[in-house]
Amino acid sequence: MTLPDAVIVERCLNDQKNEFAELVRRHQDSVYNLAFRMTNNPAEADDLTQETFIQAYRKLGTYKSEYLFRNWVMGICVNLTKNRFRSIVRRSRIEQTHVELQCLSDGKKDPLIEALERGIRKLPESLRIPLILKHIEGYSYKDIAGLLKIGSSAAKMRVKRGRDRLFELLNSEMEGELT
Amino acid sequence: MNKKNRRASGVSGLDYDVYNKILTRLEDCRIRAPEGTVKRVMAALPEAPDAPWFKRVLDLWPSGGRWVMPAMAGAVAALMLFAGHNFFQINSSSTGERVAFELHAPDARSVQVVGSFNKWRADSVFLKGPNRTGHWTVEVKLNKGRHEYLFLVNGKRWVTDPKAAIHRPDGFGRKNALLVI
Repeated sequence: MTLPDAVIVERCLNDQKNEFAELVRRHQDSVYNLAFRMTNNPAEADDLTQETFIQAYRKLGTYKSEYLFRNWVMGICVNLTKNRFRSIVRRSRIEQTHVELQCLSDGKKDPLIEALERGIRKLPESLRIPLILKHIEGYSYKDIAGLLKIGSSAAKMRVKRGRDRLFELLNSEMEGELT
Repeated sequence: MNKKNRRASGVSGLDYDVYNKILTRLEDCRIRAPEGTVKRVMAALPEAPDAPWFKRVLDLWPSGGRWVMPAMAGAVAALMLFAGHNFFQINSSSTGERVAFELHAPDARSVQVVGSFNKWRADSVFLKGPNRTGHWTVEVKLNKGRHEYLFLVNGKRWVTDPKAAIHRPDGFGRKNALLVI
């Protein structure tokens, strides 16, 4: 039986530190994925993921069980990235590190998916993060708004603008290949 | 993106329905966290989560009666702050006009000026003297307005300012000197 996150948090707070490993196992991909999308740098994303979970563990006493643990930990990741890795984000936009992408579903590489990934990396952060949260992490607009501390309508608008911009980027790439 | 938006964005080539399908596929495709993340995180965790803030505050309170000294230090600090505040209050009226007080009292040991500008508190403004002619003097900056005052000689005897232009009864049988700036 899979224990709810909130129950595991309770156990961690009752001196069962090892239980935290299960929370890391469950949410490491979401956190890493978001960190990577924000920094475009695998090494920084790795550090950021670790730091996010360490900070989450430190602040475990402040976690409220009425919220999803995943949203809470993703919020920590967003804040950490914004506060401490702003310069890295700017730098990595220029570097555009090539990363071997792996799909969790089948592990196969799809040229269209790769083109989509390239397009996502070209999006500005303000549009990229809401789009990732919506289309990859499956967040609701309300949750995106909560995470990014913006209004629901702004979240909706950013996702839409991100989608439109991505569509344009994808199109121009495909037209470039044809010519 | 509906047809209207599609026209507005001016994109062509890739069919929007195909794009939508690709976008849907993104949901199943995430970047995997590197191997060993769990192990590395667990190795770097602190011993225990931080205690809530109120517990941390309570922990600061010394146990076993060791709170007496810090409490007394706090009380002294509060008293000093209070005294400093009062002192500052007198000096803070120093933004106004400079006024000289003078009393002829050759035999006095101390002379103070006490009035409405220092809330009739003694021990705040002492006159210097006596000089060769037996005069005690001090300069104080006072705000504009109406000020009543008396001199307190040797900490006991209330004396009105004989040089004041106006005097008014204080209700205790004496006459306060009145100064209007």
